[in-house]
Amino acid sequence: MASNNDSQCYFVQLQIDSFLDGEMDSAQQAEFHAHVGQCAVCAQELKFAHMLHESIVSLPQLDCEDAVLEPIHRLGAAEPEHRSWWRDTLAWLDSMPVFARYALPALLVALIMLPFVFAESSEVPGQMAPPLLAGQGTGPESTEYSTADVQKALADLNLAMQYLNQVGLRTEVMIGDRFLVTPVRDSVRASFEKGRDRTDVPPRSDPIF
Amino acid sequence: MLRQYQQAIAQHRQRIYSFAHYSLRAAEDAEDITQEVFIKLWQHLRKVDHEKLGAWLMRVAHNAVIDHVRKHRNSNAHLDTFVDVEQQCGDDESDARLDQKKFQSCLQEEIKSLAEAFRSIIIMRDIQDMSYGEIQECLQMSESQVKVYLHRGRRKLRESEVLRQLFDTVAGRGKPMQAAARETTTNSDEGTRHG
Repeated sequence: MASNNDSQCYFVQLQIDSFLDGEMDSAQQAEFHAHVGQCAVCAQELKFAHMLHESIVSLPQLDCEDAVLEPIHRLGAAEPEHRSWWRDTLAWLDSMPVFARYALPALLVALIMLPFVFAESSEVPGQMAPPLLAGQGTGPESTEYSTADVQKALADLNLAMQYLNQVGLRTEVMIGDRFLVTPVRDSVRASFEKGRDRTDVPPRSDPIF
Repeated sequence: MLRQYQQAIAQHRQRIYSFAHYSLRAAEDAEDITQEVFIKLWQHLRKVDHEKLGAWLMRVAHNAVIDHVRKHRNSNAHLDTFVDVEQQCGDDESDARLDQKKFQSCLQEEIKSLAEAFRSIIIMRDIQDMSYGEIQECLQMSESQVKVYLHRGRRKLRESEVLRQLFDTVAGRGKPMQAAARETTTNSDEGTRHG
């Protein structure tokens, strides 16, 4: 019997905090009251717990002297606030509700992108722009080349191709039979032959051969 | 921004200082912690979510207290436990009032000597009347964990020999403190007979 009482006391004393916090339902409260009403030990424990709780709750909120926070206020005043339109904008956004904080920048980006999207959609897909002919420039920077310019460019190109051919041959000799290296000359010739097959744009000159 | 900062200081200084004061033994340390917390607020003011500023400040204060305790664990901290009591108690104070103050001073000491988690939660919940949600956010714990720590902390306080002896002395003497305790107990235990 005594052990049963002890275990009851143990459980009741475990419940003291729940009782003091008002977290018990009515049935639990009734059981708690019934035990405390007939058990002097638990009643005394409850009294002590209650007094302790009341003492803790009645401990005052304290405040420090103003002098303690004076350097802190000075710190804030000493650092000048760097105002900029960007910070002001961020601060303005911060002050708005969360959905607007994200929706407004997204709307702005969408508005900026709008002309690009329309420009792209106006082009017919799969159709390339026609090649520009001499004198058909779209801007002030386009110029018409004279025959002398073309001849000079072809001479430069021939020189460059000769150099590349020599480099290609030298590379072939250096590597020997270990690797098959196609000289640049052969690659370029193959490209021109491929181009010659196209009937629409026949090669007008052969600067290399 | 400066105005916002000053408003935050005015709004939260009491809570931060109280928390530090009830957590640490020396009043000067509580002042240092308060300063430290508000300096950190100035440094992070732009990043802090102002809707959760209170919880953020309490978390910083809590961490600062832990750091402070770690740093000064081996040093002899200046104890001014009873300074408040001496300041508040005049010569004409009655014995009962003195007993109450003594009990509260001992209680403060016992709270300070609790393990960190118990102490912080008791201060936040019982002294500062913070909700479980706020404590949860400050200490990054679940609500059930907070409740468990709170109950364990209170139980540890009830196990304190000093407090119990003081309670027994006062209760045995029949001073107003005992009457007050009896009264409060009766109020909460309506219909309960005390053995």
